[in-house]
Amino acid sequence: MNIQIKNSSNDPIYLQIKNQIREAILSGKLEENEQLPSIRLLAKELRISVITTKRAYDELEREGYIHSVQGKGSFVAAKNQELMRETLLRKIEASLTEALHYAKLAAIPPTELETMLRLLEDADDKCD
Amino acid sequence: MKAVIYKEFLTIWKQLLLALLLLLCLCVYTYSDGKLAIMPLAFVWLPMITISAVFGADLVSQIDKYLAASPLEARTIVLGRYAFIWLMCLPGIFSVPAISWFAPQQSLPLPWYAQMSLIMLLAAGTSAVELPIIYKFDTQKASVAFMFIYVIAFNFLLPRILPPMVSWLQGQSQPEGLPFVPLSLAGLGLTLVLNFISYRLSVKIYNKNQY
Amino acid sequence: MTNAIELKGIWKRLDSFQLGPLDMLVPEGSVVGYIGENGAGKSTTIKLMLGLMRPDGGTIRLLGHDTQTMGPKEKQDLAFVFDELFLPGEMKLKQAETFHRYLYGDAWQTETFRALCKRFKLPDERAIKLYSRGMRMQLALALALSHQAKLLLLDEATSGLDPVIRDDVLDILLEYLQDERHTILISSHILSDIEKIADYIAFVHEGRLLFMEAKDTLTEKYGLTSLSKEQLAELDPSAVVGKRVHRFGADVLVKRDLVPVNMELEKATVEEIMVYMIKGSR
Repeated sequence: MNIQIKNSSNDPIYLQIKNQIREAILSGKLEENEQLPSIRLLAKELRISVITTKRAYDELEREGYIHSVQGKGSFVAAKNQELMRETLLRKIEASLTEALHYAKLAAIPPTELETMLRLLEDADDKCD
Repeated sequence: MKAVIYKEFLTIWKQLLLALLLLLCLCVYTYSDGKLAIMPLAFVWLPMITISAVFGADLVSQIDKYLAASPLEARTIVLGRYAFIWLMCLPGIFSVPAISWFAPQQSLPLPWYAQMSLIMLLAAGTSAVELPIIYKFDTQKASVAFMFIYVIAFNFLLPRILPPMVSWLQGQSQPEGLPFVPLSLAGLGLTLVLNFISYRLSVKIYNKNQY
Repeated sequence: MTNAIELKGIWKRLDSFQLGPLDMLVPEGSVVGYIGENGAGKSTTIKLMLGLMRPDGGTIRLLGHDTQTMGPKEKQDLAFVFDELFLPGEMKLKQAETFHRYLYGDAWQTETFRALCKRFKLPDERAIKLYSRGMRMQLALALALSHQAKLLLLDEATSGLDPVIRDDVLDILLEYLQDERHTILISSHILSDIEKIADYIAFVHEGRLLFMEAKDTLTEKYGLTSLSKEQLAELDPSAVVGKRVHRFGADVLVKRDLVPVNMELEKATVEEIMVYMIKGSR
């Protein structure tokens, strides 16, 4: 698992950690039931306070991404399909909105956008 | 308590060695001079030197701060020091039987137990008086004061008291008549009582210390 | 969760200075950075905790035990590192080890100590009086960490040490914290160290505790900004914690929630917070 903290970022450190772990879970880099490092180990390795790592984990747990077992540690929660789908949908919506915005600027009609999408899909399939 | 005794020994063993060597030389000298009998008195110096040395060493290292934060209690710390000093009284005490065995012709015409009791009183008894004072007051001032007292005592008083005492004893027609046994026991008792009181006092003083 | 340290109404009068009344609670498993100016009372507080001084009033409980009635067994759980190593200069490593084995009895862990000495590369055959300052602190730390202590108190232990050694010390402290029953209170001027590992910051000033807060809360609470004198005048005065006015404007430490939302604020370090609170309000 990779976590990079940027001190210059405007996001508080706990938020950076939370976001990065969430990303890793959603993208499948962290698998279901995989054990996460203890909050203390994370704090030690990243040289931050335990309170910070605990907060990140607490929020992840509250949002259903991880669950903790007393005495054992924290684990990636079983993929909550609904949750993941919704998050991904939101991301797609955001990306599409952006694409539409640029298309308008370049005066490209939605039909051409659709063609571009198919072409990209083909190219993507070929890479897999 | 082992910690304290170990520490005392570690910090002043060089001074002790020097003192012992000097005393040994003195033994040789007095032996050749026929006055070996005086040696036990000289051995009384050992605890005196020890007291100055250990307090001085602690002043330099400030180890009391360390000990205060350690699990050792005040009474254990003080007892350790007292024990170490009593150990230093032993050479003096046991020099008496040593002399009567090694050079009986030079020992005093006093029963060995009486001599031992006397040395015990002089060594451990005066330590008992000195220790609470040093615990209470500035080590340096107290040391100087005591050195002064010993110098006066040993150089002026004793040479004046001892020879007449010795000749008086030798002149006694019935030296066995003197109640030496009870006297010796009294000496032992006095030493023990003095030390007990001294120890309790020292612990009280040491306990009050703040850093 | 129990508290590793509980100070209630502690006060002590010293010459021209009074510490307290002070209340402080340190939860088990946390690291508290104890900060303040020289003479603010940090060392006094730690000395009161360890028994080098007796309070004039109030109570101190360490690991659940009242310090006035603590016995040797409870004191074994306390570890300390002062700014100097108060051991006889003649001692060598092995002798220091023997001494501590006598001091701590069953609690002493020879293997742990030896491993730490090796890690610090402390020389076997040199008397302590010939150690450099850094080595003395490393030895002090090795000794402190080798008797299964649950509470570690460091009083200005890293002053005068180079950044590399301080970094090593930090690593070792972080390892110590992997056991959630271990607690650390560290007083230091070197706030960059504290910044890295502290969970809480306790700020003592002229004998009084100004605050004790989670370090993260501090960065969320305060912000630093550079303003013109006019902009400074427009600010809500209660938002200004401290300022440094210079010829070309002012550097201001503000409370984030009392300034305009669009004001650009930078993260304030613990050091900046401390200095602005003390100097900036003069």
